[in-house]
Amino acid sequence: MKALILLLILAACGPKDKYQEIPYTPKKALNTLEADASWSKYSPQIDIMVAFLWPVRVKEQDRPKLSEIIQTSRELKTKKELYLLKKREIQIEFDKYDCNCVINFECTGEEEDLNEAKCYEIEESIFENDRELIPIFGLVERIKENVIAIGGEWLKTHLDFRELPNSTVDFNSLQIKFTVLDAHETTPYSYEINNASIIQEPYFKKLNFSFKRETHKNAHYGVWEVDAAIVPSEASLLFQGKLFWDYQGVKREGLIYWEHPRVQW
Amino acid sequence: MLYQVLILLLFSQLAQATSLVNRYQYLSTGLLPAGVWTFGVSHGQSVGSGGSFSGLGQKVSNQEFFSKDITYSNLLDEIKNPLEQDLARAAFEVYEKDHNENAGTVINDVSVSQKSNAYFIGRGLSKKSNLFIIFPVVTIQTEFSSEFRHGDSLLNLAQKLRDEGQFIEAHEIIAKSQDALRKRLDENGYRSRYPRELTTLANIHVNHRYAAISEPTFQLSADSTLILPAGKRFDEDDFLYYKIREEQVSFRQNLTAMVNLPANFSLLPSLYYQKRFAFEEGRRIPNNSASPLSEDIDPDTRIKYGDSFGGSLQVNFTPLDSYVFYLGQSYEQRLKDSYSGSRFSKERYNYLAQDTDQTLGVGYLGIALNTIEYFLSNKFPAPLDLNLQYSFTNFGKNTFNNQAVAMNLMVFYK
Repeated sequence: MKALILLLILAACGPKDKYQEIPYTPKKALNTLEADASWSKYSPQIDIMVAFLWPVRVKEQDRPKLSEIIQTSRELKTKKELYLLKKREIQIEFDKYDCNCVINFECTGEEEDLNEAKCYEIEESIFENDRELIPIFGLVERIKENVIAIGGEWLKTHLDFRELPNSTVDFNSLQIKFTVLDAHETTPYSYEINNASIIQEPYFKKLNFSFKRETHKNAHYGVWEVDAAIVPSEASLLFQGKLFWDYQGVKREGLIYWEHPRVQW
Repeated sequence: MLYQVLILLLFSQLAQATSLVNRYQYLSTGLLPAGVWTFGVSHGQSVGSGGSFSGLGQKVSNQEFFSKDITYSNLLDEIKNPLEQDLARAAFEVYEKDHNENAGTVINDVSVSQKSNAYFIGRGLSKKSNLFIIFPVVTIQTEFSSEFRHGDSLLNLAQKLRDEGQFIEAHEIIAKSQDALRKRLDENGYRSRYPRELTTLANIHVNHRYAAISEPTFQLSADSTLILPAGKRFDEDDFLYYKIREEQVSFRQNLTAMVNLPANFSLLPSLYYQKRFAFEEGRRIPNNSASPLSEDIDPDTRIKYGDSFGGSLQVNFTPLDSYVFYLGQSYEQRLKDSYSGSRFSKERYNYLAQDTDQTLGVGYLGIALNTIEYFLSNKFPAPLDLNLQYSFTNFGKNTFNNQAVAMNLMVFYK
C-alpha cells in the first residue's frame, strides 16, 4: 500500500511538465536610410498641412462625423492631386505658347508667333483651376469642423497664419521647420526639428521624429511624435501618418498630413 | 486617411472538454470475493489521431475543427482601445466593408495525445459487494500553433490603402495580425504559455459494486461511483483550458447485466448516467462567439458541466475460464454545459457553453486473461488478471477522433 501511494505521488507530481511559450516573431533591426535624391524635384516648402488630435473617445452619436472625416480626407487628397496635375498641364501650355511674354511682358527675345488669344484662354484656365482651391480648402475646413465637433483638438498651421512663411523640410539634411504647429490665441508655436530619420518598412519609407510640445505657460507639455509615410506621387510628395502627443505617460493619437508640390518635371 | 485596424487573432474552441474521450472500456459483472484485496494498474494511450468530429458530427482535421472564420465585426469586437475601435469601424464603413464580410481565418492547429495510468485498489466487502478506489494519472501532450490568414477582402483593403498612400494604416492591418495571439494574450492578462506536456492526477473514483442478481445464466450489477475532483487546476488566466478536473463532486450510476449464451458466448449490456452538480468559479467571459479570449472575468461564474449518459453492448467469448475474448461498442452523450452570472449579459455567458455538447461512439475489442484458477492449482506463480484492449472512435460530435490501446493488470491478495 505504501509503495502504491509513493508511486502515485511520484507519478502525479509535476516535475516532468513542460510548458511552451507562445513566441513573438523576432523584430527586425530598423534600417535607417538617407533621403531619396529624387525628392529634390519637390518643393521643400509645405503647401497644404493638416494636423489634429482625435478625441480620447468618440461619442456614439458622433460616429457619422468620424466617417465623414475619413471620407473628406480621401476626397481632399484626390482633388488636390487633380488640381496639381491640371496646373502642370496648363503650365506646359503656358510655356509652349510663350505666354509669360504675352501676359507678364517677360520676354526672352526668342519668342515667335505669339498667340495672344490662346494665352488669355490659358490664363483663364489658370484662374479656373485655381478656383478649385476654394473647395479644396473648403474640405480642410470641413475636416476641421468635424474634428472640433467630435471633441478633437485642431492644430493651427501656417495656413492659418498667411503672413508667416510656409513650413519647410530640407530633404538633404532632413531638417524640418514648422513655422506654425498649434498656437495660443494669435501666438503660433514654431519648431525646428533635427532628429528626423527615415525608416524602410515593407512597401514604403516613413519619416519619424519627435519634439517637445511648447505651451504658453512655458512648462513641460509633453512630446509630439510623428510617424508618417512618405508617399511620392506624380504631382507632389506627401507625408501622411500619425501624430502622437505623449504627456505624463498618456499618449493621445492624431493625424498629420502635409504636401510638397512638385517643382521640377 | 487615418484610421487604425487592429487585426487580432482570435482562436476558438480550444477549451474543448476532454471529458468524452476514447478510453478504456470493459464490461464485467464480476465481484471480488469477500476479504480479497486487489491492486492494479491500467495504462492507456492514444495511438494516432484521425482528427476530430465537428459539431455536425463530420470527420474533420484538427486544424479545421479548431479554426474559425473571422468577420469584420469580429475584428471590431477584439479591438480594446475605444478610439481605435471607432476609427476602424468608420474606416470599414467608408471602404464599404460589411460587418458580416469575411476578413480572414484563424488557423489553429491543435494536436492532443494522451496517456493515462490508473492505479487502483479494491476489496471484496461481502458476497454481494466490493469497493474500488481509482487514482488516474494522465499525461497530455499538446502541439499547438496559431496563425491568422488574411482573407482576400482584407488584403484588397490593405492594397487599396496603399494605393491611396495610406501605407501606415495598411502596414498596421498586416503587421498587427502577426503575433496577434500572443499580443491578445498579453493585452488581456493571460499566461502566454501552455502545457506542452502535462502529467497530473485526475479525478479520483470511488466505486461500489453491488451484485443485484447472481444467477448462473444472468447477472446484474449496479455500480455507484463517486467522482472526486483532483489534479491540475486550470484557471481563468490559462488560455488552453483542459477540463481534466470535474471541479465538483459528481455521481455516476451504472447498471450492467450479463446474459450467458450458448457456445461460451455471453452478452453484456450496460447503461450509465453521470450527474454533475453546479459550482462557482472564476471564468473569462467572451465578448463574442468567435473568440474565447476576453479581459472580463467573473470570479463567481456559476458553472454546471453537462451531465453525461450512455450505453454499451459487449459480447464475450470465453473458450476457457482463463480467457475472454470480447468485442464491444459504446455510445455516450454529454449534455451542454451551462454558465451564468450577474456581471455580464446572459448572451456572453452562453458563448462559454457553445460546442460543449458531445457524443462519442467507441468500438473496442480485447482479450482478458485470468490466472486465478491456475494460481489456485499451483500452475501459475501469481493470481493476475491481464486485459489488453484496442479501441477506436467510430462516430462523435465535438470530440477527437482517435484510436487507443490499453492494458489493465490486477493482482490479488488475501
